[in-house]
Amino acid sequence: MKSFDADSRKLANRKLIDQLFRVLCLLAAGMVVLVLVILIGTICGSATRSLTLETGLPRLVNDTGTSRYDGVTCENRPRIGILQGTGPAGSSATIYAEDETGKQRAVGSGLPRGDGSFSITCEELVDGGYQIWFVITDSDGNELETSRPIRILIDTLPPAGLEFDVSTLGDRILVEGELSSFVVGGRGIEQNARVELKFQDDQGNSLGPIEAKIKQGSGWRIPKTNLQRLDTRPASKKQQGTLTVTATQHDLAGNAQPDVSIDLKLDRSGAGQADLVNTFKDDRIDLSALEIETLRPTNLETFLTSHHYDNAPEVSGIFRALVGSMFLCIVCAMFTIPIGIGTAIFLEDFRPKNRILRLFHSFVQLNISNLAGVPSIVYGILGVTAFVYMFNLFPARTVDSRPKYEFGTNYFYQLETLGGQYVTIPCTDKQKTTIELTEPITAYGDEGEFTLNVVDSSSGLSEDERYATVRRGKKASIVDSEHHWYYLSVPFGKSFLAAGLTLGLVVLPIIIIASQEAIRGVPNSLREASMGMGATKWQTVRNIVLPSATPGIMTGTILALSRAVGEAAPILAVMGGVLAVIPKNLMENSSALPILIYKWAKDASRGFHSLSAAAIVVLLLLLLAMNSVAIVIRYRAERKGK
Amino acid sequence: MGNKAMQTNEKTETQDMAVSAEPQALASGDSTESMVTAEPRKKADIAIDIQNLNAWYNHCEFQVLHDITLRFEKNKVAALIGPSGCGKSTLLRWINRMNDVVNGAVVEGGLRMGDLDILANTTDAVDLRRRIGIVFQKPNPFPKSIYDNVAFGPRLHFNISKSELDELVEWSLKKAALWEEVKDRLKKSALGLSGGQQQRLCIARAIAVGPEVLLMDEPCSALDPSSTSKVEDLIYELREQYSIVMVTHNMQQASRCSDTTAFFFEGRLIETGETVDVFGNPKEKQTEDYVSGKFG
Repeated sequence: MKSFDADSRKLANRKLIDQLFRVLCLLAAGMVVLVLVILIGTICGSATRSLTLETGLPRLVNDTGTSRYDGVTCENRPRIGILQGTGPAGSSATIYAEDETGKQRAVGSGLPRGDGSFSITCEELVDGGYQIWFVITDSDGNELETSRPIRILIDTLPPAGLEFDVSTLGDRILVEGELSSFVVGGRGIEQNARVELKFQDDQGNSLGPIEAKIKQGSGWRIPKTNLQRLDTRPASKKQQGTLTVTATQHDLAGNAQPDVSIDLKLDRSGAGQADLVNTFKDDRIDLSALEIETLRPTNLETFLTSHHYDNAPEVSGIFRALVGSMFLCIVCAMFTIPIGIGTAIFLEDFRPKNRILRLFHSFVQLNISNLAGVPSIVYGILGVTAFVYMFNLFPARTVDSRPKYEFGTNYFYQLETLGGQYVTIPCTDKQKTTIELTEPITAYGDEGEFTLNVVDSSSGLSEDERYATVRRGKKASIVDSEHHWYYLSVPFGKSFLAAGLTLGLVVLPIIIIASQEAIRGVPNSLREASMGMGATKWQTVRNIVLPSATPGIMTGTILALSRAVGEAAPILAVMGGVLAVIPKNLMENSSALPILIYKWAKDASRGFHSLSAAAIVVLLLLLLAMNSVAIVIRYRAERKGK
Repeated sequence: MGNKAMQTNEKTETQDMAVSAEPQALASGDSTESMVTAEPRKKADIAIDIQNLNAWYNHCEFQVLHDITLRFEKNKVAALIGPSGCGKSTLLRWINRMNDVVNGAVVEGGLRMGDLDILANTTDAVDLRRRIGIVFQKPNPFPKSIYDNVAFGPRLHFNISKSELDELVEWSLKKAALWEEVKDRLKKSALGLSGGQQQRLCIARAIAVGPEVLLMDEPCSALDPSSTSKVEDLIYELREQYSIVMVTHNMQQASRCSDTTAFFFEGRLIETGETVDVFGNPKEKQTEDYVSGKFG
């Protein structure tokens, strides 16, 4: 038999790898201690006001088309909170708005609260686009801070047509017999003209007239509160009925235009069955179409694939939330599994000999189970501190500060051309928040790239040319950004990365405990056999211990992840209750099933309650499926071992 | 089995291994080898040389070995006998430094393999364990295939091609007298083998990495008589190539397949010498009581 010589280089490599993994496992355990320390810090109140759940400054975010975005709680009275304004005593903040015609005016001002923060509500703004910014001045009137302007669009009008929140209507008719939460709106011909609405059902119940004014943009709306008095309960046992809605428009001279009316069919046969299908026919008042039908049971496909969640129950679905939950789960798993298993290996197999490290070892061991018992909302706050704000180590996020460190993003200046088209100009230096246009520049519009002309006088331009032209000296501010899929920023802000990491913290102790149990279950004789043949510690762990412990580790990990999927509190704390679209990069918000369930369950409409129940079933099935995977893996590994 | 010819090595003298009866005499080291035979042994013939070895557990609270001085010869089978808890296994586990990983285990004294100081900090325990293989009391094959069990060690230590590895596995299994029984099921799990086969697999696994010394910690205590006899035969065969140190509780086994025997009692080496002498003509009363079955 040929004899083999041990390869000394291989030996050196093996020992190097062994040391490397020892250090890695030590670091993993170190992170656990870090979590503990931060946790204690958080609990002890090191979470200062700068670590509140609120993000950023004036919470007006750029949005398009609607007024329903963060921070703008009233339809046309944006409330602006400056949460981290540290204005000195006597300072004041003023909000300015510039409308589309370039007219600037102050629309609100206020003094700081005791903690130095501002909360200011603007005066009412009429519909239209605005640039809004704030200026903080000290008692002498010197400007201390000026924010980056934000473009907002105030649009208090409902979409064209008479809009019924029919699902709610149907529900209430059947349950409480009242019309409530019933939004009627539409478009009329003339601003400031009046619209009168009357409601009458076949039982003789009536409501009205209710008046609305046609506003700028020729839209009108009747507030919900005016509509809560119509009792449409059936006086007889008649199941089928009609509700007639009559709209009359009065022009500015007070002359009534011909009535327009629709008959809405009422079906009182059972809960969730009210059926309202009709349209207005007259186009004098452009009440074109009723889009939504009624409370019809959602079919499964819609429920699973619909991106909507707050329209009507019958078109709502869990798709976003399901995908969001999966993303969160993946982030959580990628963060937790290596650290959890590394820590377990450190605790079980890489017991240090060094005196200090031994203390560290027992400290970690002692605290793992404590960590497992910490309520998840506490981890949520910890996540906000550690991931969303990163302890404010980096300059705090304010309205005009983008994240301190960014990777994978492009910024754009946005401006309106003479022709009324919004175009964007790529921004190369993001410190320069405003540019002044003096010469032609490359810009992007609806039809792609083109050269934006700069002129001194707009006379003599054709309609087409106007669309690619701005006046000389036009200012443009950074209002838009485009993130690549690999976009990263520090601090993480409200992102699903932060939420996933926070979930990871929640389940980390569980994974460590499960892995430790599994590793402890590997007979010592196998370790000795491996060591006795000259394997390094890491080789023993890698080749003998981990394969034998895998079923246990997998089971524990999957069970822990299924807890993460069902966890709501940390997500609420980190991302808030938003149900965002499917994230395109790690820094975006995402939805999650538990949040959706919560949102639906607290909705007034009964249709959403059913959806909430259905979503719970889906969540439970998901958990069941994950646990089944755990069982299958365990079973197969056990069989393989025999 | 049992064809134990007392291959009397003329160099082997009883006194040679009996030095530890008065271990203090050797405290000053090799220069005062007064107790060693008049015909000093060449270093090459000594596999493991133990000088005044003391060992403790529990951070020096509990001393398991008291001043052991002992030599194991090359290509011989040395049996360590004695009642439970007398330190035999501890000695074995220090020889290839398995006790390194035991928390609170402490040792001092001389322990050399050839020129290599086993206990020195600079000695690489990982490489040492390749050179000093160990077989445990309970068969402990890895939960892998038979082939992978044997290939485990070579894969760790050698840059070895697939065909060479096949060859080495076959050689090791043949050497361990297991080849005929498992050659058709090399890819099957080793846990499906019988206890005796598993133990021989562990021996095959240990010799696959080419050790110089094989340590066996009660290799047959978990086996039935027929498996025991196979393993004993194997031990006797392996002597040709390896120096073997075997811990056993089975007096017959010690007398059947060892060349030299050392008797331990309460952490002290009581008597050592040729197996025939220790069993047939013990010098110490305790040894006599033990080998004749009066206690232990």
